[in-house]
Amino acid sequence: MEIKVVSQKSKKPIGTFTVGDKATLLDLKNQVKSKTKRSIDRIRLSIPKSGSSNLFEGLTNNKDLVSKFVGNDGTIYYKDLGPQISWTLVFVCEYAGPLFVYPLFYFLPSIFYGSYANTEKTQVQNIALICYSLHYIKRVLETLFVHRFSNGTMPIFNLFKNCSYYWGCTAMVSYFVNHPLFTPPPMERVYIGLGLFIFGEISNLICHIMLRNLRPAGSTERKIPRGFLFELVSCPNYTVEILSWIGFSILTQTLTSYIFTLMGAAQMWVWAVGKHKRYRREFGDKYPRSRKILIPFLL
Amino acid sequence: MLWRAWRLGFWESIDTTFTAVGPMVCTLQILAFLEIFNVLLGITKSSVGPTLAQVLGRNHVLLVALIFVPEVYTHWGVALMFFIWGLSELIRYPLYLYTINNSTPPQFLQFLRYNAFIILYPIGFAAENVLWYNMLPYIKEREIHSVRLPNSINFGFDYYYFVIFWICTTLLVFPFQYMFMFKLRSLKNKKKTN
Repeated sequence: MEIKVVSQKSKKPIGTFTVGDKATLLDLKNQVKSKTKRSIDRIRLSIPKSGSSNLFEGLTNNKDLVSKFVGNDGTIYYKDLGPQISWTLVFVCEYAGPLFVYPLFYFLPSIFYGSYANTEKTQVQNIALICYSLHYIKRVLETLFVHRFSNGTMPIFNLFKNCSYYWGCTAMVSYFVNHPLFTPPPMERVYIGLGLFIFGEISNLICHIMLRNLRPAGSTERKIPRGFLFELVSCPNYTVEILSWIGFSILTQTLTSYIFTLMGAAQMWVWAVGKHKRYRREFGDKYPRSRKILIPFLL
Repeated sequence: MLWRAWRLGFWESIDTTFTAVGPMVCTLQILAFLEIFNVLLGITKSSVGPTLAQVLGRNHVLLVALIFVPEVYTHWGVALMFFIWGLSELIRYPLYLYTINNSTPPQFLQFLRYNAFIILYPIGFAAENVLWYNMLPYIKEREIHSVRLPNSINFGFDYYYFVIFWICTTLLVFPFQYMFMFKLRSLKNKKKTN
């Protein structure tokens, strides 16, 4: 079987490769690799989306047979994704940063707040420091010991993008929460917020462990998640994470925290919609119809 | 005699520009938000970035700042800024009318479209900045649009420093924007000779 590989951007031919009938995408990528001198992780193969000449659908599963995709003219498109970096490294960097940035405002007020700096911290500010830190310690540990990533790498630019988002947002939240002129909310609201936060964090951990156990070590097999909050929504891990940030915002009564929550929720909504669609496409009728995307019984 | 009367009227009216046409310019500038949608919907053939920058830039100086600083209403910068904005719209809108009707605009309009900016853009930008510098002390003194801690949303914002940041950013961006317009102009000229 002859496969023509063409650059997705310039439409210039990369080369023609001969592969066997049982060849997988990984086999084809290996041949492209020896021609382009790019590592496997940088190579993205794609086919045009049906009915479109500009939109392409990435072929992400290396184990798929090449023959599945060369229907019409035996052409597969190639894109160089640029230098790659492992997901684990990006995650650890983006989550470890807040662990340094947040406490700066708490412990070194004289640098940021000048003449006001010598005021006693309120109980709420102490609680907030512990909550914020615990969340990111949890995220780092989950990255190292719980998550199994189906894709090994991402473009290196994501490192800068993700880090500036997380580090910047942390500074934006921490500056106001640790401000000497901070106004704490009434205690009953602090308890409500704290309760929501703790519930969200614990449920989030449970979801992540369940997702891990869904995919046995060393496999890329996908299954339908069952049980706990997964019966209600496709991405309960995002639902409860949003809840826990709403809790943090209530307990700190800080506008920038609400803004951070809103931005995070918007991003998680986009991811959740994608994941929900993928589940539906992959499992078809077997996927529970009543299951919502992010908000139980509603959306 | 007539000349002297006209000159007197012209110079005197500079002080009263804002009271005379300010409300109308403000109304038109609110409507200018529609230009962003015109671009997004493909009614006008410009790019989103520059249109957004122009609409937001003008509306910031006029609707967010100037109308809150009456002390500056009588400054000559207001008259100059309105004059330049008006001139540039006098070129732009007739051109839009022609293109919407699929007819070719007259030669002099096309010439102005790609040459008037060489003078109008820097003067308009300078006028805006003259106004910013004159408004700054009042913005600081009266804490216009600033939010002071402590408050029940734990948020603080100092508009004065935001304006300084804004001035610096626009100063940095201006040369690139100006060069970019020259590039568009030379592209257009090349097309013509081909």
